[in-house]
Parts: sequence; structure tokens; C-alpha cells
Amino acid sequence: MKSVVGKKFRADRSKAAGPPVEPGQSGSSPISAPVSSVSQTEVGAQPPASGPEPRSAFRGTGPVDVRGPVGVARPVEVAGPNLSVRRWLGGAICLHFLLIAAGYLAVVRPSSLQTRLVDGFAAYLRVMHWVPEPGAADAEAPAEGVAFFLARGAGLERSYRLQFQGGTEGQEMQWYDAPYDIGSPGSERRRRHSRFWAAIAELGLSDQNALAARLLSPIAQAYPEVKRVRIIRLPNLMTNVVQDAESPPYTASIVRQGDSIRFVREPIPRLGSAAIP
Amino acid sequence: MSEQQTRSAWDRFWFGEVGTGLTLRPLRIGMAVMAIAYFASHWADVGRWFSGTGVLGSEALGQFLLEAQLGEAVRWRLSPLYWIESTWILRGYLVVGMLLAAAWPWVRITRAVGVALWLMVVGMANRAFMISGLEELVLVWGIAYLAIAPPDGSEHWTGSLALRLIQVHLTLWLVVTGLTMLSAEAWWEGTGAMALVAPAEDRRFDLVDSFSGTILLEGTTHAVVLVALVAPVLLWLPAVRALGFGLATFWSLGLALLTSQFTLFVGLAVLLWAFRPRGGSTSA
Repeated sequence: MKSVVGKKFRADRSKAAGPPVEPGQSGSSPISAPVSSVSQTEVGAQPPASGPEPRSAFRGTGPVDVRGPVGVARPVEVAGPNLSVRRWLGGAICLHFLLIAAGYLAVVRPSSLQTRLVDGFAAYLRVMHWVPEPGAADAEAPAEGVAFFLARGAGLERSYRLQFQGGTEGQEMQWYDAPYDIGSPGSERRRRHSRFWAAIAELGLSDQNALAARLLSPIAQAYPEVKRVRIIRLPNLMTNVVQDAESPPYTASIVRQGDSIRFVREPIPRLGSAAIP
Repeated sequence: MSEQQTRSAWDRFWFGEVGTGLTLRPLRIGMAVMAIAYFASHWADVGRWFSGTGVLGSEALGQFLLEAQLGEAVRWRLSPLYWIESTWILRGYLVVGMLLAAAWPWVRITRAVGVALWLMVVGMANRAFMISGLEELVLVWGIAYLAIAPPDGSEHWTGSLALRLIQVHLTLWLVVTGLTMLSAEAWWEGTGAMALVAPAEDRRFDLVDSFSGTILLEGTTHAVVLVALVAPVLLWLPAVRALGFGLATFWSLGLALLTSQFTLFVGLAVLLWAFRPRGGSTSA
């Protein structure tokens, strides 16, 4: 039990901030006593008492009240882990926040050191989902890394829609929104759809047509009447005339032969000089 | 100052906080509600996304990653849901997750419920490759830290550790958000707030017209940046902690309204409760 008592230290830092206690000096006041007790435990490196550690860290008998009558915190002793656990935890905490900071700060243009650090600890950061995946933060996945939400809100966030053509009797040449529920405006459901379509749009803009087609294949299979498909970006108050006049980032015709489906990418028409004011 | 005293201050910071049981209970309840909302938000689309014939079904996603040579990107995104193809089993996973979240604040005899809930959220977040966002991050680290604390609210050094981890992580989040905002021109020229509300089709509330006034628009923009940069300092100064707490909470709830990112920003507001000023306590 003695060693457990020796692991106590003051929780109230205002009280603990008393005169420094020299190593080896016995604290005479109730404030300095726990500090010297910590030293003794660390130097002696006594193993904790056998048996389970008490759940409650409050010592003494009677009801516990951490607040005084006027709301001032009383000095309350809280048991801490032993020295080796403290050291191990301290190192782990430092490393943990170092890695998370590196992952978070690699948002605009990560340095090679940041990249190496995050990649080197990918198992830890990704298995436990401590850092976002590229492109998770806003609808347009920037090539240079993960953009934190609010980090680059310079009109970058756009609303995306998946549109079909064909299958609607009498309106064979009309584009219409994909006929399934994507959730109400502002919902997580709609945001997930928008991220997915943004990913396809990005692939289309970078001419990775096979990959875009791969992502769209399950949708095309679910809607056999559809003949063409496209991803559009909706204009908003932050977009300018040129951006609003841009062609959809991905448009493709669907060729069906039996069970197989092929997507034929339709080239994006270049803007003519007339479109530029 | 001796080495032992330095170490002692470090130990007091991480393991010596008091009153954590009372502080962490509202956080646990709040994060449980957010977790239920998160699992519920997947209910309607879980089959469309992740079932065998889903858009991101295991086979389709595997083919895509193979062709895109993105295997390294998902190598560590581990989740049991990659092996599940049935929509009903996927929904069963969501039900279990919601039940765990509902039970978490009330089961006070074991940490197992919190740990299990954390694993369920991590599994869902890792499975939602390409469609997950920042809301998963807040849920994951919030629940992870809270699961460390004693479930019965008793005073124990693990409660102190959990509280400090939440506080430090929140501070880091605010600082990073504030600093990275400075890299975008919109936050300097006063149009950042408009950028948040502009995609009105994807917002719960259309607030575009509300920002027709220049002073309101630019004032809101500058306030969003200023609070993100100043609040992390105020929150750690006992004398002005109440002000920092109020500003940061208002910031989070305001951004939830502007961006409709309710899970993310309300989750942050819940976790900010870790900084709730306690009358007379001088601990930072």
C-alpha cells in the first residue's frame, strides 16, 4: 500500500506551485509532500502493490467533494500510473500528436519530410482513421494533398450531380438527374454522393476514362435503359462566367453488348474565344 | 528547476486532473448521439454503396484500386465490412453500432462498450473509402479518447488522460484549421463565408441572401478566421477560458449552420465541453 501512496501527486496545480523542493529534501508541507513522494517512487522504482489498483483515486474516508463551499477546488490526490508506464505513455502521446499534426498540416503542399513521416506510420494513422483520406475534405480532391475543410474555401466546393440520358419515353434527348434518392440538402448522404461524383469528375478531367468508367459500371448495370451518362458541376455565387460555361467534366455514351458494358468517353469541347468575355 | 519537478508538472498535466468524471459524462452522451446519427445516416444507402452489387462493392472497388494502382492508399484501411456483401448484414452492423452507442453512456461497469463502439465506427469509416469526410475523424478520435476514461465516472488517472487528449487534439484541430485558412485568398478578402454558403443546393438552409450586406459578410469571414486562431490560446488561459469556450462553441455551431456539416461541427462543439470552465478551478 505504501508504494501506491507514493504514486500520489497533487492535482491542483495552483496549490502545487509552491516553493521548489530540492531532490532528497523531505517536504514538510502537505503541498510538497506528494512531490517528494513521487521522487521516492521514481528513484526506488518500487513495483505497485499487488492486487488491482483501486478504481477510485480519492483517498481518505467519507464523502468526496472536489469543490469547496465557494466553488474553489480543493487539493485532491489522484493516483497516477507507475514511472515506467508514465514514461511509456509520455512518449506515446508525443509521437501520437506529432504524427497527427504532420497528417493535418500536410494539407496545402506537404514537404517530403511530412510525406515520409505520414507514409512511414501509415499503418497507425490509417488503421485507426486518425487522418483523413485524400480528397475527403472538400468535394474537389486537390492533386497536391488533402485539403482541410475551411482550409481552402475559395469557391472550390461545388455541387455535383450525376445525370442520365435515355430511357425516358418522349424525352430521349433530355438529361435528367439520376433517379434515386441521394438525401436531403445538407445531409451526410448527399455529401457522400457528391464526393463520389467529384472523384469521377476528377478522373474525367485527368483523362483517366477507364477508371471513371469502372466506378460508373455498377450504376449503368442497375439502369439498363440509360444510354448516356455525365457528371455536372452546378454553378453558384462564387463561380464566374467562364466556370459556369465549362462543359461537364465527364460525359460518356454507354454501349451495351449482352452483359458487357463499355463507356465511350465524349471529348470535352474546348472553349472558343467567343466564350471568353 | 530540477528534472523531477519538470517531470512532475508533465505528470500532473496528463494524469492529475480532477473532476473528470463529471466533465466527461456529457461528452460521452453527446458523442453517443453523434454516433447514432452517423450510423443512421448510412442506413438508406449502405446496400447501394457497399453490397456485392454496390457501387463500392468489394469486387468493384478492388478492380478499381488495382487498375488505378491505389492499393497502397487503402492497404491500411482495414474493415470487416469488406467481407460483407449482403445489405441486411450491413444493416445489422449499423444496428449493432447504434445499440452500442445507445448503451455506452449507461453501461458503467466496463470500458468494453466504448472500445467496441470505437471499433465499429473505425470499421465503417475505413469501409467508406472515397466517400468519407471529416465527420468520421471527429467521431473516431472523440470516442477513442472517451473510451479510455473510467466508464463509471470515478476519479482515475485514465480520466485525466482522456480529458487532456481531447483538449490537446481539439486545440490542434482549431490551430490547423485557422492556419490553413490563411492559405486561401477568400479568407483574406472577406468572401470566405460566402464560399461556405454558396453551394446552396447542398445546404440545409439557403443563407446566400443573408450575406448580401458587405459588412456582415466580411465581418463573419474575419470572425471565422480570428476565432480559429485566437480560441486555442484563450482556452488554455484560466482567466479567459470562459470567453474562449464561448467563442469556440459559437464558432462550431455557427459553422454547422453555414455549412450543414452538422456531424462534424456539432461533434466539435460536444468535445469542446472538455474545456467547460469549472467555477474556481485553476487547472488549465
